[in-house]
Amino acid sequence: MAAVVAGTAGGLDEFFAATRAAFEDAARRLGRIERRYRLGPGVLRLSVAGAAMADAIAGALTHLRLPDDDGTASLTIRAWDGAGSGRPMVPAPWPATAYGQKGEIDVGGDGRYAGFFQQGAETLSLFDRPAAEAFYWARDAAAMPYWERSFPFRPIYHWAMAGTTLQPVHAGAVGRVHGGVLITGRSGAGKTTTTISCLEGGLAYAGDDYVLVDCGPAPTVYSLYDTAKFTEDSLARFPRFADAVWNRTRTGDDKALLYGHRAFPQALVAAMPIRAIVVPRVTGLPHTELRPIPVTAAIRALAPTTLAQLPGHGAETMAKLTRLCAAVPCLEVAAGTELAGIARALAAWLDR
Amino acid sequence: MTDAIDIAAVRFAFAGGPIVHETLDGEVVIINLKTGTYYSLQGVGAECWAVFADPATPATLAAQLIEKAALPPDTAAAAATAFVGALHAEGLLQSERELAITPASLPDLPEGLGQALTLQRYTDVQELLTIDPVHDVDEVGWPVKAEGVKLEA
Repeated sequence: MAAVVAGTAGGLDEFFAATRAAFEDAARRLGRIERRYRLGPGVLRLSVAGAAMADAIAGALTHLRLPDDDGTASLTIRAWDGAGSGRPMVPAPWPATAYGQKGEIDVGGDGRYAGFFQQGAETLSLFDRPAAEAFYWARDAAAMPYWERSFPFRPIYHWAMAGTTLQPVHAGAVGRVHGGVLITGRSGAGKTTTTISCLEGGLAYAGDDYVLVDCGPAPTVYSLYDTAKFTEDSLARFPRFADAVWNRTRTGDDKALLYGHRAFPQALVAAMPIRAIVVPRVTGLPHTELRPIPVTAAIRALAPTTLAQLPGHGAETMAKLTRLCAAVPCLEVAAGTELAGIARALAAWLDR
Repeated sequence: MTDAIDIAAVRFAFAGGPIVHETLDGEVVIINLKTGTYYSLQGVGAECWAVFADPATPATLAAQLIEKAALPPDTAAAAATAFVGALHAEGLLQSERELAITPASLPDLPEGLGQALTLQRYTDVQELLTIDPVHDVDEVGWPVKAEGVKLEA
């Protein structure tokens, strides 16, 4: 391939054209899999080269699949992997210094393009804003870790929603079809326990880790992934899910990954109006109580953890999340040790 | 405090860059996107933060503290300098000239005011950013494979 000029719009145009050609080459060699999915109020067109890559990334999206047709899409993602295609990735047009701490890539140019390299998962996300077209390349789809399988495309969704009222957020979402709650909070605060308790208690489930929210006048949560991640402790508390664990062999502090379309298909919901933002707190007491908290307490719970993991658009994202928190009640769920009580308390609040 | 520089006369303003902030219901939440550290200021503290939306000096802030909190001039000056020094040390305010400020303690203040002027600092999100940054790239510019990195949320 011809050398490209780092940091120039022309060089990036050439790089993206070469990347598109590399995907097409992989699709010819491995077979092209075309699917359409719901993406909030829009449509995602996913074009994948090879079954291994499709297996790695499409499982978490199963519940959002739409009929295959040639209808329009609000975002197109083309995905393939190096190991499967047997070809190296197009050479990077930027210097080693372009990589930031979180994996953001300072691609240079005029802002048309964005890039992110996820270490550990060894995946590269690239975005062409005006074309609403993204590329997702993995070093080896078969080796993709469970956590990336559980929430692929996070940076791409984040870029694609810039300039809209939509925003991927680090939160779970459960509730009723007529209204649900976002569950957010720092690591270890009880987010997973609260979310899974609600799933176990019969509430609808839109996600446990990342969901898409509309921060506009009618706050709405959209499911992005049907996955749930259980710690060993959670798995012991909710043993009926054990048979559905995808990664039966785990090491260290790996969490158990479950796909909702296999483990709890009846609970999955694509969208719910947001009735409240809930910040859990583990109390050690038996009963669960809901208490109002200041809006800013919810912002502190939701914004830093969301912003820490998504590349760019920090001020815009902060403004969106502030608007969202100000638009709905913010509650603390003082989560009791009697786990069924968590779902009962939230269901009672939603059904008032 | 640096020698020979009157900090009270130096202008400071919001740092921008990786620092984002929003104010709601009398509280400002400030986030450093680079480090994951986030901060809170409430009540008078949030009002003092807002002073630096446009470049302003600690002397300007002190004048407001005299007016709003009825502080004696010396106490207001010391409180303003300490407040600005703390925010500057965290990289939340930038100064019009390069400064090395040794943060000072707040003076004795009326009940509640000292707490309002104390920057609340939270570091629990930092663990999401502790991944080792890219050090090496291969011959075609892609990061060398990272082993053992786990980023599940």
